[in-house]
Amino acid sequence: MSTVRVRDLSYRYHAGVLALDGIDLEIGAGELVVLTGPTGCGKSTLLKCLNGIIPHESDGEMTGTVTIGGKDTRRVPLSELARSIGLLFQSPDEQIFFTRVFEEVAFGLENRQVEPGRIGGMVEEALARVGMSGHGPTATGALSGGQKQRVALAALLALRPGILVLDEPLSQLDPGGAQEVLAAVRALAEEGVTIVIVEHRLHEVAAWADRIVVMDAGRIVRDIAAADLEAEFGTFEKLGLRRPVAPSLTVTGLLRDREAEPARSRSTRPEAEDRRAEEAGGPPPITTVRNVTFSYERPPRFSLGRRRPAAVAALDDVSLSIYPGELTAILGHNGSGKSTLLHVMAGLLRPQAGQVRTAGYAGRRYDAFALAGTVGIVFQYPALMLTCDTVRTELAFGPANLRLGKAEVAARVDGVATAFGLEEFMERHPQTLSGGQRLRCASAAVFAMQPKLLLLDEPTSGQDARRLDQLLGTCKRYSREGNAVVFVTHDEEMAAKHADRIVVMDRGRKRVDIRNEWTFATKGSAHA
Amino acid sequence: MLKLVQVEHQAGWFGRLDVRTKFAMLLTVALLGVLLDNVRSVAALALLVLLLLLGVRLSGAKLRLLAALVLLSAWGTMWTQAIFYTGQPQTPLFHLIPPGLVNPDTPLLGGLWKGVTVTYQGALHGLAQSLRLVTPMVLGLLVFWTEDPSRMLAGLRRLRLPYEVAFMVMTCLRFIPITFAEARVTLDAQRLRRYRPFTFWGTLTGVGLYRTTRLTLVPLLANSVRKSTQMARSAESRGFRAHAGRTEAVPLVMARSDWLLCSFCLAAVLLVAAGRVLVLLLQQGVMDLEALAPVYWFVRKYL
Repeated sequence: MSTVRVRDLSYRYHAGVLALDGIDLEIGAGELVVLTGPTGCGKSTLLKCLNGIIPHESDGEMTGTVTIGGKDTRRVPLSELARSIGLLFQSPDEQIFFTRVFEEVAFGLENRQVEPGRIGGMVEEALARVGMSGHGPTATGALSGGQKQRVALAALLALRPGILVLDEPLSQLDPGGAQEVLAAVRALAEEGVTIVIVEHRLHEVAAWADRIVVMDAGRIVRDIAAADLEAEFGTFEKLGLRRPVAPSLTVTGLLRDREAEPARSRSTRPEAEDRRAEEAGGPPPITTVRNVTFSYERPPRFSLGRRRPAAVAALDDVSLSIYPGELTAILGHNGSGKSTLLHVMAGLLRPQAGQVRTAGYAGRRYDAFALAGTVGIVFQYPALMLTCDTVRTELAFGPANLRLGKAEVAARVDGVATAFGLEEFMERHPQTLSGGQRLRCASAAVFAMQPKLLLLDEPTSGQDARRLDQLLGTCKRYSREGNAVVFVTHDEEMAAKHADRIVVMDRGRKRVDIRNEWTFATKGSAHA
Repeated sequence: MLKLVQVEHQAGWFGRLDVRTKFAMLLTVALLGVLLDNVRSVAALALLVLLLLLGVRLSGAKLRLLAALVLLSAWGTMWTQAIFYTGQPQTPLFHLIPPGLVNPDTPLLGGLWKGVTVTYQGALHGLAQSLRLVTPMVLGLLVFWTEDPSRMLAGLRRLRLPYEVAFMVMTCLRFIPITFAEARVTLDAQRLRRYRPFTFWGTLTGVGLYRTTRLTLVPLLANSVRKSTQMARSAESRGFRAHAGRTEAVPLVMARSDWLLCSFCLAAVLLVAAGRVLVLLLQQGVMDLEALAPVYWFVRKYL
């Protein structure tokens, strides 16, 4: 019997946009279905229909029917629907309210007025189902991204919903964390829980799914059984989606290879690397990072009594040279020091030992304010970078602060607006743009300053393949103009596809630093 | 910065007190701050609160922040209050503008011909005012630093605050560190686009402060709205407001020490309030009992 049944469902937003157009879908108990499609295809709207937000909290026009466990969502109040459907969102930080794991998982049970004596057992059972048994007293702030997402999942499971809807649950997780969550989710499906996952990272999720439903322009264009995936690769390529194949390049694999290499053949010291590049007639590096060590916890200047444990280094003796014309990807697990390295290169963090040099800036002069125009960074959450009233003023903000002439500012604004496809939004408030548009706007605002070194922190989170190809393609072209671009990502597939060079960080150290061609020469291409 | 707003889970005996006891202590200190008039008693109250620090194992960063807040607030409030003190008598300590320096006929500034003098009595008055401000602030921070948001939620509910309001208060507290981190990102992004918030003229005219505030608040608020939508959906999907009441996995339990402290707080407020009322009645000529002479004397001399 179908747990979820959608019949001839159409939905039109009050602004007139037809988001769903005649959707028919059935999902049985214990099935794990992945819902995918390009940005704007209607996935999120369909999820809202499944959990009852549409029609109960929406003023658009819905036709057709959605039944969940035999109940028509139109006729059942939202609070009752919430009993049978659990919702898991992208960011674990936005769904964890409490500072202890136990309290977080118990929250829903307390709201449902479960007897206090039973809550402890139910919490422990839910934690065990996601592989986090015994973590009740752990502080939620001390968990990794994958663990947080599993705690959020446990909080839903404690309520024993029949259906779980997961909206891009992997977008902020490293591949290891993603596999942890997916393994827990698969185990739930085996127990009879119906699972619907919306996800762009198909290559990671496909192996765990029973079916993959592909949407485009408000319609379901394919409903593919997991066994038939290979025959449908053309569909994915046509829609600009990723091929659901595991990439040949993985952080774990690269680190394993690195450990297997004989010490003699490992890369030489970076100074030698620079000299070699210069001797060969190549340009000198734009940025050099020399033996940089950084810790978020400063060692105490003096201490009384018991000695404190040494602070954990976020960066431990890292050396790296970034050359013009290069698009470099920095990979690594959560907490490996990738973003810290980026922030040190941007002059936002001052290393406790070692030195960073970019275009003549070094030492005390290596400061974000002084580096503006030479180094630019796009942060993981671009919305926090958008401070002006219109897209036009946002793009002009940086160049104007560099005191360029009005004509030059206008030319740069027009140039980046065209490059990033922002012309039609120039008079809109940047905060009213969609997620993908906000990333483009924030990136364009940084590009407008024409930095020699451009840094991007997790630009791949929550973006579909087509948009990522566009963004990283623009970065590649920019690097070919004599600049350098460095991006931090969990997305091994995108790194393999676009980067010239791949650096892997592990526990604060640079473990791997290779040309991308080397990877494919030895491992075979993952390029689509 | 984040460490300054994180909860200390190993917070000594003060940390182990029931959250309701802490709220009662906070309320008591706030009320006594209003009721007490004598600078020595206000200082004694402040000292008592500062002594609580011995029972809380705070990190060095938090202690430094506390010291900075106390000194800056107390110092600033004390001298500004002292300058505007108009009571009598007035014993000059020093002159900011000496008497006679400004001619009374000078346009606009003529009123300053008497000079601006900081007096001993003004300084004492300023000290009392500043301690009234600083003492509850210190205790409030101690409560904030030693309580899990969930215990605050439970405590606020027991104090009959509506659950929705208590949950919002708890969520605000929980997300303060995240908001700090987000503000840092926004300010960093501005620096890397060579935005200088506090130029000389910008600071002088206030335009720099206004512009920076606006440029920082817009993304923070927009992000907060987006996040709160997500959070609301997450909470609703876990039965928030599904029923009129809710159970508690770990119910709050008042220990004997909690009851003792609460009783002490209540007694202190009642005794001080009663003493003040009796003196007020005496001053108004409503009631003058000879048997209460020692009380009148004590209240006037020490409270």
